[in-house]
Amino acid sequence: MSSSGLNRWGRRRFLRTAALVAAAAAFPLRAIRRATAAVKTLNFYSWTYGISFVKQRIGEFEKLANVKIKYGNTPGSKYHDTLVVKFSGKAPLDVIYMIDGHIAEFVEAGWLHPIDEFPRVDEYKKDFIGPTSEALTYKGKLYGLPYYVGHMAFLYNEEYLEKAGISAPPKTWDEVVQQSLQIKSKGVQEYPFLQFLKADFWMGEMLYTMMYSRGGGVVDKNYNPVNYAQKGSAAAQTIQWLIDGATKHKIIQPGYMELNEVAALKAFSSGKGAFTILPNYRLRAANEPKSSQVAGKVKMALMPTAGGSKPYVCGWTRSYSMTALAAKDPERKAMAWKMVDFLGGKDKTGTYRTAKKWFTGFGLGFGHASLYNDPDVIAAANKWGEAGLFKNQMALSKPKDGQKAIWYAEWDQYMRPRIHKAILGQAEPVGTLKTLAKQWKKLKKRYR
Amino acid sequence: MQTSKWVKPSEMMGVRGWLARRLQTDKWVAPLFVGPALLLMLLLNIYPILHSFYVSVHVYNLKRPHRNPYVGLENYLTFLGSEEFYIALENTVTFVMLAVAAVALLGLVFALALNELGRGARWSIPLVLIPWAVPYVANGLIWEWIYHSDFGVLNGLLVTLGVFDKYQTWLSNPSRALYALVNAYVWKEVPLATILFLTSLQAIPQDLYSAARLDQANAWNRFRHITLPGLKLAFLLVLVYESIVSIKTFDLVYILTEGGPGDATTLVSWYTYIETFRNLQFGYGASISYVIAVATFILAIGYIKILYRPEES
Repeated sequence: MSSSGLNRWGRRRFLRTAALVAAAAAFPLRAIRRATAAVKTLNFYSWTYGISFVKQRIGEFEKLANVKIKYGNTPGSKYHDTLVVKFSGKAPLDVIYMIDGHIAEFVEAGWLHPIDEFPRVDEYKKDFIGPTSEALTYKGKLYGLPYYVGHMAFLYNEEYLEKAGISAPPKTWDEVVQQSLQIKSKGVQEYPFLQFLKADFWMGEMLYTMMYSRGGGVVDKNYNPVNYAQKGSAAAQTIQWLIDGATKHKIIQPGYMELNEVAALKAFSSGKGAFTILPNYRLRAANEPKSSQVAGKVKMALMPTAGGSKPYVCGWTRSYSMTALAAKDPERKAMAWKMVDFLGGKDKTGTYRTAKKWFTGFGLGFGHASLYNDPDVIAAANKWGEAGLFKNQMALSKPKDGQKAIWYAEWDQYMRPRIHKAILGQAEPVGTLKTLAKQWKKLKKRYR
Repeated sequence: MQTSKWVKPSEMMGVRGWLARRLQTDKWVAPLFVGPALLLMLLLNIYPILHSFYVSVHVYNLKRPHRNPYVGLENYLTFLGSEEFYIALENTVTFVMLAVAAVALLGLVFALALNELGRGARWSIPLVLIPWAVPYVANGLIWEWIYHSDFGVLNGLLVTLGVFDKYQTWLSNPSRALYALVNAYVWKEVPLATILFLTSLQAIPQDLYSAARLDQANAWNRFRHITLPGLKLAFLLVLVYESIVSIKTFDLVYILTEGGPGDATTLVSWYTYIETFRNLQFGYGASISYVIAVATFILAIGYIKILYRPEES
């Protein structure tokens, strides 16, 4: 610009214009800065199940929220320990799967953040089925939305029962023995009761189920041991049943203490065993023609009882939970809630889309009562089982006694080898139960 | 054309001369080459070592993250008074003794056999090393299937050969599970011992054997007076290394048995892991780790004192 042009324009006018141009440039810069300060990535961790579906939902969320999800997973049996290492090492985790039995210790360790403050949570809570709310709540706060709700289920191979001349599944544990012996004597199965009891986290669910169905329990609401450490108690009966099943009646296969849940499913699906206890969602897998040699023949029945008791089973809730690390930053917290809501809540049409797909596609139970009335859910349930039976057994499922005690996981770890030793005959069953009760009291005292 | 004249270090001047004269002396060369790597290792290890000792003298329970009182040696006294620790210790001593003896013995036998191949041994080395190259977790998974009580190859083989009339339990049998772990460990570790022994065997001058034959020494005398002394350092290396590795064994327990059935395969490493990562008692776990580390160090020093004579090397 020539000096005469500048003079004509005026210095003040030039400076005013320059200032306006600078401000106009700064405004989008500020917006860009805000956008770059916004969450670009979110860290999501789960256990290894249904990965293709999980990744599909992740992709949908990434497009919806304009965020990149860094996703990792680990086998379920190693999940707790992996999370402990990650949290201890301050690994970036924002949204995770959570097991209800570990919520207490993870909250006390400062690793989880409650979700009560977020929109729609109260609406979701009203729709939770029975045990869900209790399972996900600790000290009055909710720590996630349900990913799935399940329970241990009694499954049987209808074809094997027919071959042995049995018309209906057993209703009591004594009938289980009688029918197993009948199946064995007819040469249908050498070991009719396929049991798994590896010392991993499913062991608690299994033992609690066998105990609940006999009318027993472990602790009361104040975390005081109930009278399970005595002869004839449900717990003692459970241990004795397992001992007799393997050594006296020989209806349980040797080596069941090295068998885990996945291996048990594979064995049952390959045709081993006439009866088994597995997580209820495995019913679908056992009836899946692509992976099961007994597809179409596996049915569910109410859990056998001790005769006179109700067929209670151990249930559980797994959740989508937010970490305390995510909650430290307001924008990350908002994004993490968005993801939890996307996965565990309703979509724009008012459907629990993820939960519904988990059930219809994988057989995973849901934590929302309204889904019981969904026609797709009912149709899917009737395809591999019986919708009414699912609902009835779910109504009789209870979470593990005392799992909200901060020391529960420690006691569970203490319990596993000792129950094994009792079953192996290396320790006396009632004496073992007394030791467990003593340890519970010791831990309660330590953590009070 | 000018040619550069080589200057003797004794005639060099300044810092360059000083450095050249120092490098001529052997004792400076080793520290110079090893020093940087050693320094880096110390820097990366010193903080964790010191911090873990600090943790071990405090209550460090992640379920009570804000209560970390100093407790002195209480954590140490607690596990030294714990029945579970002694069960784990007994299992570990059994495991280590069996594993190290088996690895050393089998490694020596295979090395002697491979040595007979002469030049042919060279091509066999990569094949021999395959088990050793398998990651520890993969090794555990392989043996989990081999030992499976319903589908395992081992059972299939033994029943086919008529050793048993029906499938056996290995990992859920408390009297067999520990030996099953030892076997899985030995399978992976023998190749390294074999290679170490083989290289030592090949370094023994053949003239010694020729002279011995001339003196009409038999095979056993040649083995006893020439071969074994020549393998002393290799033995030391195998014993020290395998003792350390076997004491630390964790992966096999993690994959195969999780310390069971009961506590039949609970090793000290597993016990430490449970207390630290399952029970979230980091202070207590650190104290156990410290004691085991010190015990391992003392063991290694013991081996060296017994087997290592600098004048013989």
